[in-house]
Amino acid sequence: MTIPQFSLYLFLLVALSGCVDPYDPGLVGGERYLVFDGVLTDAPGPYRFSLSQSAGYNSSEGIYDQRVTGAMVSVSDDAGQVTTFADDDKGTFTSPITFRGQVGRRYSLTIMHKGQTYRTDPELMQTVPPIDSLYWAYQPKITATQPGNFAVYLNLTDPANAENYYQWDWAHYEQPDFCVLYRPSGSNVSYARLCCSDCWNIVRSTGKILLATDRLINGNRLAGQAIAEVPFDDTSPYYLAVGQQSLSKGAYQFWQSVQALTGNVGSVFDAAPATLSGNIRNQNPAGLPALGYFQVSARRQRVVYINRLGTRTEPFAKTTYPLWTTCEPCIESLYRTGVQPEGWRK
Amino acid sequence: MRRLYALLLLILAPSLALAQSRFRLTGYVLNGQTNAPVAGANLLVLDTGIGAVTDSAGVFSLPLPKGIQTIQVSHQRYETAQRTLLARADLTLTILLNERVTLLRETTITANQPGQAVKTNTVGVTTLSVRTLKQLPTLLGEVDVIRSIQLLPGVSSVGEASTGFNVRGGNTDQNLILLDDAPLFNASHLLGFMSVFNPDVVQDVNFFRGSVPANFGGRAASVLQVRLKEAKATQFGVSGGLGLISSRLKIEAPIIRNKLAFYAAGRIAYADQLLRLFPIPALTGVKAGFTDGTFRADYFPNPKNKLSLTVFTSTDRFRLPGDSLTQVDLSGSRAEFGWTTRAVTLGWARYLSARWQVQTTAVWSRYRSTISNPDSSRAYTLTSVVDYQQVKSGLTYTGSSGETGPRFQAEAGLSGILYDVVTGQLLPTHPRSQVNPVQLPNQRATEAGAYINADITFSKQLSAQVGLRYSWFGRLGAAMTYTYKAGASRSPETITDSVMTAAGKLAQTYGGLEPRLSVRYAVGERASLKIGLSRMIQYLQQLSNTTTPLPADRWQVADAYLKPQIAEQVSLGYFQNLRNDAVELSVEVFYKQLTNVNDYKGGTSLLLNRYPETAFLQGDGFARGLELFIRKNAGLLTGWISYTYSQTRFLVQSQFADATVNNGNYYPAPYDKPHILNAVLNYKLSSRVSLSVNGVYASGRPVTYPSAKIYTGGLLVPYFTSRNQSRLPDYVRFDIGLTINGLRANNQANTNRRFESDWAISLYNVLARRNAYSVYVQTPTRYAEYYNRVNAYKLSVLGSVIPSVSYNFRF
Repeated sequence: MTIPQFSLYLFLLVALSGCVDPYDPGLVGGERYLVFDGVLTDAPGPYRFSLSQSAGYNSSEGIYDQRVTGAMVSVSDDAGQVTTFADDDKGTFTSPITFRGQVGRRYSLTIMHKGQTYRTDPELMQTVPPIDSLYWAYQPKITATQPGNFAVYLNLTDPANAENYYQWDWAHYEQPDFCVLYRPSGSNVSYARLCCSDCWNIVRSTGKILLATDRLINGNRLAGQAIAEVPFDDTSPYYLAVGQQSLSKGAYQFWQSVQALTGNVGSVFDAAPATLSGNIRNQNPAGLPALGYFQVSARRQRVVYINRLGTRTEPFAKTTYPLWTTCEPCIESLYRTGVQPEGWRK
Repeated sequence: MRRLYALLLLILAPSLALAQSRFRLTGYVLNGQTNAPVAGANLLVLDTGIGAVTDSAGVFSLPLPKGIQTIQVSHQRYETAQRTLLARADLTLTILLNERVTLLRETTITANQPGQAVKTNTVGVTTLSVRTLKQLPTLLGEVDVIRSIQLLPGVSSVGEASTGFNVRGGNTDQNLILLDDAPLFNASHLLGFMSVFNPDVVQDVNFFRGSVPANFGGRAASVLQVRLKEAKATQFGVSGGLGLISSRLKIEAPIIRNKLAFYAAGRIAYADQLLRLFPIPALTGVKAGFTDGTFRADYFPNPKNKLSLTVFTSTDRFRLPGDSLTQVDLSGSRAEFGWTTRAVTLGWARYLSARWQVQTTAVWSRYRSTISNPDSSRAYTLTSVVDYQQVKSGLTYTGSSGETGPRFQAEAGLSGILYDVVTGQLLPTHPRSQVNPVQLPNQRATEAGAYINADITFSKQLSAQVGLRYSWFGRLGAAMTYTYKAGASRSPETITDSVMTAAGKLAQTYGGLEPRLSVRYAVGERASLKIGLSRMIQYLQQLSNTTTPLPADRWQVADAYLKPQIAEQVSLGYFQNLRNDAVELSVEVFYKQLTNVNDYKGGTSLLLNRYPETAFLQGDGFARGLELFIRKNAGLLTGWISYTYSQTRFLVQSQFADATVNNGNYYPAPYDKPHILNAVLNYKLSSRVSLSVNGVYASGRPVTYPSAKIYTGGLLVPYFTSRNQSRLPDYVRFDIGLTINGLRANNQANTNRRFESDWAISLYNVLARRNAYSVYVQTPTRYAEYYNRVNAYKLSVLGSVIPSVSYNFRF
């Protein structure tokens, strides 16, 4: 029976997991579209919007090959208030510090760029219920070499009345043992340079699209929504800030399309590719469209510490480095901050 | 490769193979009860195209190619008989026939035997016997009807793991697949790797892709008629096979000798059990399996009547780990697909006189597919069902005056169909499940058809098949019809009104004439020209927005928005027999006008959509092509080579941008494959061993590549504009098979008890070529704003050689 079993295994392996080879379809860029990215919430500002240009679908062209300059970005609400965002001339637009989104208001976006005007219909900032609870479970890994991880789940109670759409994101903050590794020229020893002040490294859910609708569970508990997978690389408590945002139906469909377009695996189950359509329209119907979605969301956040003790004790090997004499300043970025996060426990 | 080249040479020079391989078979055909000679009996050497007719003394003489050959003897008034013998020298044979009711079944079999293409009226028809099917190299040792059909000209499929096949520019839902008159809505096992037809019970396969006789209706592209063997009322038999993926067993027994007999056959795939032995991560959680069963009973109460009952059941399940199905709004830890077909056919043939016969059939067929998620808090089962009930009756008149004189056969009939479709039903399947049940309105519709079909032989040169069908369709209530805002594209937001049609009332009707005509004009003894015209209307359609239909894709009857699909085809063919009918050659061209083709609307979902008209688009299109076919039926080397050039284009226009595809220009259909070349060759190495080779070349199907990448939400997202503007790399595959017959106790058919066996060994995809099933793009999710890098990958479904061995037996 050895041969039949082997070939059956072979069949199933190749047939069901398939073989995947890199392939170059030789795509080149064409017209460059203006692309908007940004979310207006009721959380404290400032809000940062970005404008970029599309690039050809290949590895040589970049979306920042040409920066968007000289654009005007403003948000107006249904009370007639217009807020203009400050342009850094690199495609990033920042709201004034006093500006904050309000639940129940309708907001619309206006972009003026190279003689074209782009607008959205007013988007309502819908309320969002709070996160009922977050819980987690240890998942052992199948292969022996990898440790398991902790799957984090969320429960919420869906309001019965309206259609609700949800989006989640998370951020993990941890204080690093050192700020940067430093190797003096001519040396083959790496030294650790500590941070000069309190500093947090941030791991975000950027790029993961976490969505749900109450279409099938309206008015019930949305239970066991998978949110994150926390690595089991240490036994210390793991800080996780989970954000929950309301979405309009259009925004939900937009992100669902993005999920379908980026999550394709070439299988029979893949949805056929479709043109991604956002809510930004060129006022000149003959002009090129602007892509992206101007999202308006109410936001709730909840912080948990995930207890990583008590599952099984494994020694976690950590590389240690000799300390260097000078320290490194903590520089603000998407991945590092000197501001203590909400709910941080020393 | 050298051997393959040699084989190719051989088929081009048939004289080499024919030289010493023909003998002569002579003998008598006698009435088994009276020993009186039977005049006008047709003899055929199966799969060779060689035939003869007995004279007034019952004497026949025909050439016989070397090797194991099966002689089939048929006559209107007698039971059809078959004799298998080994031709190594000239032979004589006496065949006794049993008197009984003659049915249309037998006469059509002889009409469509290979080698007869020049003589039949129809254009675009192929008949394959199980014997031919068994000689093809197989995937996993299984003889497969649908995989064999895909080697014929004019037929293509989108890839290896695809549920259906495409015929002359038709979508996969446009094929009427009949198993003893019962339509099957999904004829695939294991997501398309195999088909549901058990080779032990299949008698023959008629495949109509050109002119379809008027007694068939309801699908726009083709008819695949799979006929099962009659239960033998004379002897007990067992047959079966052991394969790597599945095994099968058939038991046949007479209950009342010469009156009532039955057989039961079943197959089971045991992939799960073997899979458990391999704890490999890539396979963890993948489960697949199927069972199917066929029961048939034939009852001959008296010489005037014949009753037959066929019961067919097929069950498949396929489990994939992870969140494989993003189209359902609730994600889960695994997705389970299941699909089940149950079909029952009850047929009654009554022989009124020597010329008149009535055939009445009642059919019930149900297709049920499910998607389920077992996670407790979100456990659900999503079910869709197509329920089909049909009663049809046909009256046949045969006016035959000898073999050479003018012949006339006519059939007229009526058919009534009731459809009940469950388009989507979502039920929580766990006490703690938070899923709210959803029940889309069930759909009910009725279809009626009346037809008349006549085969007329005017002279030796000119004959015709003239048919006319009228079909009528009524969508029955309870049905809700929504009205959408004028001046806006259809979407749930633009609904302005709804009209409820009460149960039993008609919500929408369609109907139309479906003329079918084919005319044959003999250019000489061995050549003919044929022209075919047909119009076919399809009222039940499958809506899909994936590459190949999923088992759970939605079947839907026509309504105010989903208009019936219409295909109008004209085809022209030239048929030539060469080398004493041993080689047939045909050239066919066709043009097909497609009305109301379906395509998906971007960014919408069909699953559980209450307003499906907001998620599909309808347009027009055309298909045109050229098909070349050369088939060699006799000699040591048999097989065929087919080449198809075709084009299928759709046109979806609307005043609204989101309901228009590719700016309202013609674009290639998703399954359009311009060039397809298939070679199927079988070479008899000895009387017991035969070698077979398949070669397949096909252009890649259209694919949509992104025209740009954009940065949004922390991701580089592909941006698509026009559909189907690029193509996948070409598809090339070779398979090799070897069949070794076990030693037989007796070559003459006089003994009832004998044991036969064979081993089938095959290598599928010998070149181990990684043919592209799809090309897809991916972008890294981390630090997307810093990198330009994007990746494109080619997915191959079968990327290596697939060996298989199966052992088959019968006694």
